Amino acid sequence: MSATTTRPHTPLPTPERSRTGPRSRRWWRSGLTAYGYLSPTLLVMLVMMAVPVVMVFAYSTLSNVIMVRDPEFVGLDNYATLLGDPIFRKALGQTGIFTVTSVVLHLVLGLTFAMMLNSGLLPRVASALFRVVFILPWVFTASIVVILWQLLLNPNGVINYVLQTLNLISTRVEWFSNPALALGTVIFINVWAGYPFFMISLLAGLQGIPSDLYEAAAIDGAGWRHRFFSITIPQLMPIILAMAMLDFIWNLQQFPIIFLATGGGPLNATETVATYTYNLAFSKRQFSMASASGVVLFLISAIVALFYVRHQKARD
Amino acid sequence: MHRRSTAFVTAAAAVALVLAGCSAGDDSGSGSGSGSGSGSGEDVTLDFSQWWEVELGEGVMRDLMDRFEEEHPGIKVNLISNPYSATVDLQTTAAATGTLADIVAINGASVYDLQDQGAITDLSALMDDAGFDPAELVSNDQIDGVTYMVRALNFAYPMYYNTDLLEEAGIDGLPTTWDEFDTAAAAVTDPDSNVYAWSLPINVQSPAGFDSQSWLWASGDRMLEDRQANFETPEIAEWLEFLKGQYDGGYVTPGAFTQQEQQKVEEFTAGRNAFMIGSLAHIAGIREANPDLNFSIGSVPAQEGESTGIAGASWGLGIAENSENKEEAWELVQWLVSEDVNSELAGEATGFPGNAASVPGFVDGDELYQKAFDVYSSSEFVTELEGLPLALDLNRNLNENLVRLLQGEADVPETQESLQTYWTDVLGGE
Repeated sequence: MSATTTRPHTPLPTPERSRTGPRSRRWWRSGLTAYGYLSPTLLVMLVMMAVPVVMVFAYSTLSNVIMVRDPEFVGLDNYATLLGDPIFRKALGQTGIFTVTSVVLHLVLGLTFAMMLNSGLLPRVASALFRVVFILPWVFTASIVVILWQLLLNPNGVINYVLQTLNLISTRVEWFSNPALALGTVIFINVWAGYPFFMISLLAGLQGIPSDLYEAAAIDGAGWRHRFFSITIPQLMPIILAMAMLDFIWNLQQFPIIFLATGGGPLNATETVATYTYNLAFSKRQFSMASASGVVLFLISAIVALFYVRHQKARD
Repeated sequence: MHRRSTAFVTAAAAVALVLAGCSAGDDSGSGSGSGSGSGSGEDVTLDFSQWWEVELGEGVMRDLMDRFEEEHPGIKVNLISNPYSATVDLQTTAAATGTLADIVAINGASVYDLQDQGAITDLSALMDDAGFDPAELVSNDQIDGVTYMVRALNFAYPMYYNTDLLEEAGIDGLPTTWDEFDTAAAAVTDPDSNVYAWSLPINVQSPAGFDSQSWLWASGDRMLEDRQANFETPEIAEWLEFLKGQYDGGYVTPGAFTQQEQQKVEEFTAGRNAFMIGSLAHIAGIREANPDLNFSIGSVPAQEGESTGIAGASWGLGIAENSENKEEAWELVQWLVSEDVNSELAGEATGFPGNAASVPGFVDGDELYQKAFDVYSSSEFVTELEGLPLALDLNRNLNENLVRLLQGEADVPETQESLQTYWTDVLGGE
């Protein structure tokens, strides 16, 4: 520790000395040794992550790739075309609605169920049973989740039958096919499929809050609302922030649930940047435009990821 | 010193691994098959990318390949099996990187794009070299005078009729015209009992069916003329009016805009639809799922007069341009479309053979299949979208425009204009 505090006061070595001095040689040796050990990981990261990302960036500046042999460099033209497309702008807006709503509802539902399981009001067996039931949606793959909800929400499905039996609706609701309802429906399915991750993480956080904090607050006469907002939320805040940022990135890129349920339709009512990108690539075969769209999504994700990393560093 | 040596060895191993990986990629890039050809005495292994194994009964494809290998010593076949959409997506990217499998299962929706990428080879030349007469095939589709795909199987899409529902509604005989169908649709539709005339799946995620186009084709009309968009005609307007009339009349099962092919089949199987346009592959499934359902098969009603066209799809075969074993690959293609093997394959897939002399075994002794075969034989087999560039995208655009029309966001002339503009943009560059 003392070495680090005194180092700024020592004269800086000249470039000549830094290249030839014994300290520098030691640094090079130890540095090289460290990078030697790290090289497998660095190479894998280079091949699996850096190269594809750079290639997608490069593709986005070409006229088209894969379908043509001699693409032309077009600079930022693809981005201009993309931003000029009203469907892309709609997809961007809907991606925001989908993501923010999903994250907020994941948090609310996850926290509610976590607090219920942590309340101690439930007998041990019931608590274990509820844990299993609540975590089930997270166990299913996206395709199973979508098939399940298609069966339930089909115009001839159980949900419409129940609603009609209870006289809550007069005609069968087309949950997926009605453009006014489709986005809400896929958000609902996404929330159902994703809240258990929040629940498990927040439950672990709740179990880590010392009980004497609540006891002291109770002695001071704090009600449940005060205890919730002054103890529970502040204690969980680091977890909530980290989870919210991760969930934001994941939902931003959500593809299978939306594509399997509606494919971005009807009338682009559920189009998000992810489904829009897929259609550009595998339906229209415009791979450079798809790359540009992917880069936009990448940049938004990167900004949130940057906040996440800074938040984690601040915590450490 | 020891630590530095270990670090050096680790780094060297990592570099070697990466280089080995790149080197393997290069090998596959130069030709997906392996082996140096029969001339060297080594076995040739052909990669065969297809979705057929997934859709046929368990072991059917492998058994066929085993028999081919027995009859063709020195050639082995490696099946690369994926669901249809995954196969198509993988082929697109493999075509770009020159790593397409030696033999690829393709269809009319993908053949144009693959040949445009230069990824599939000229089969006309291989046929000539092998002395194969294209007249043995039911059809020999060509692009600019060259064959790139051989149709192994054809799938026809006739109309299924729930005879119980028709009888209950007092409908005698099957409707043969749009007017008769309209009357029958009104008679059978009963929303309170959850019964509708038919389903019209016009989703955008897998726009694969022919539920909308069949009506037009059955009437002898087309969406294209000389492979160019031709939507602004009175016939197209009447077809769109008919579809809108059906939807507005409440005869179409709710949820059409996101309904999928399988859900349509389930509606018919459960007895909730009186009519369904579908391939023959559904007959066995319907019988198994609902043995009590009484249904028949016939032509899709025409606007007036007799039905002339029936929608069709195909399972085709192409050979990769990057294949180092094109002759051996053609041997497999030729074997699959030979009379006996093609009949057997058609029987397993419930399709119609690509070989003109083959007769599918399932036709014998089954009244429904016989009726379907009669409809197929007496109709023009229409594959209007096959061989077009971006065929899937065109189909998706058609569905999007139909949704806009049925939703009331566009009228018939606007729909015609929108279709004409988009399709002209795509097809105009041909």
